[in-house]
Amino acid sequence: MKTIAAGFAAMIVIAFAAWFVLGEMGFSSAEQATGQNVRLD
Amino acid sequence: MLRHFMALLTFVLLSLPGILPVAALAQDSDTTAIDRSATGGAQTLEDILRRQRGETIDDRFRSENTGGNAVMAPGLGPLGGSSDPELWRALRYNKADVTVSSGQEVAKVLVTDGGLKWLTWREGRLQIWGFWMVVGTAGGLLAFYLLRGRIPIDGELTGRTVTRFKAIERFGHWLLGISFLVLGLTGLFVLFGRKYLAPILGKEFNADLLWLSKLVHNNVAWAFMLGLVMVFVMWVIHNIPNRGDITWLRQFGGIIGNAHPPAKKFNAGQKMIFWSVVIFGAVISITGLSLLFPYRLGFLAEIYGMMNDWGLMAMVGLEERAADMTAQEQMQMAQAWHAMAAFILMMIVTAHVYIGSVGMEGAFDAMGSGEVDEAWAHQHHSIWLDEVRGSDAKPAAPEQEGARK
Repeated sequence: MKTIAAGFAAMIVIAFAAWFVLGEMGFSSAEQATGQNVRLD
Repeated sequence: MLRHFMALLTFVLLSLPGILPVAALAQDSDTTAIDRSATGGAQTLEDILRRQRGETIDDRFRSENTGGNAVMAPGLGPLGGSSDPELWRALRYNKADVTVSSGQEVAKVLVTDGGLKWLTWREGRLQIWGFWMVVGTAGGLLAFYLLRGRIPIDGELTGRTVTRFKAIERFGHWLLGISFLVLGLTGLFVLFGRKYLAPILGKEFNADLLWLSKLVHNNVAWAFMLGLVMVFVMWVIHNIPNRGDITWLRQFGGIIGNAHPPAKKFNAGQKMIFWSVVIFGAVISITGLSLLFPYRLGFLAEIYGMMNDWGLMAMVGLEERAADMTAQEQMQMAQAWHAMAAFILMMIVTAHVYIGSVGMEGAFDAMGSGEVDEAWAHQHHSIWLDEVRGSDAKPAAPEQEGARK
């Protein structure tokens, strides 16, 4: 049962890490799909 | 499980041409030539009617008539020689010289034919088929359970256990399984939310739910892909088909009937599950990456082109799709394959969950604690048990002797 909890915890950690790292790297839609003339935020 | 799997596979293969939007659209084409002399070569009512019926029409009379021919459209001073219809035709067939200030090349595509077809398919056939695939699997398993009941362990438990899966194996399995569960639920919300949840939950709540679902779906996807890689690396060597699988299949794995054919670490049924998860998981991952980074990882056109070169696209009547897909159409096709593969995998995983829990006594221990009773191991994986018995079989704890009541 510990491995079920570990798998669940790892999923959350990976998801948060992906969200943070990709955001920091500039992969958000706001940064990727806009230019100086168009702002999504 | 075998019968269920084979029925599922047959069902999927037979239904694919009906599910695929482009395949469906390729059907019922009326190739009769249309007389356009009355309109001076412009489209006629028959053209419009055929298009509305979803038939494939040869529209080169429009797509190749996008130049600003002053002779054909005289007197349009401010527009030079180009009339408005010519301009719109040029936009529609991506032949207009469009300049955009952001969004790169993809933003230059202002009109796509495929958008409405994709939306109609997504809101219609995909949802109907997807719903019945999930509900039908659950209903079929319930019926099977009522007919077959739980597969018991024959005889007494020995009280001696053997390690079936190490902690790292179970971790990879649960990372993959739990993330797939989360992705499945959030994916269903995104697909069905607007049409079915919003009328019940309200538009505001539905909007928040779908925003959260998309956020979770996009980021949990990485856990799924990591779990898929882990499971593949750890178990691929044990899932290579061998002769013993034929024996197992001939006896239906003991799921139908009372035979207990010998098997190694994974029996033929588990191998089918494994390869299904790997193949459909890979399709979901590849198309998912394409959707995660829209218009940047547009490798679907390359894959289509490759399949076209091999003649695979022609076999299913899709050869014309491969060559000229716009970036937007690639996204639509990526979403279509993503959803179809996900629904198929949901069916397979549901059957897997059933047999690993309520369907078979003692099966959950293999992925729960990792330890299984030797009686269970002998019944379902006798060759594997013989291989490991000498090395890591554990002596019975005193209180476990004669544990079966």
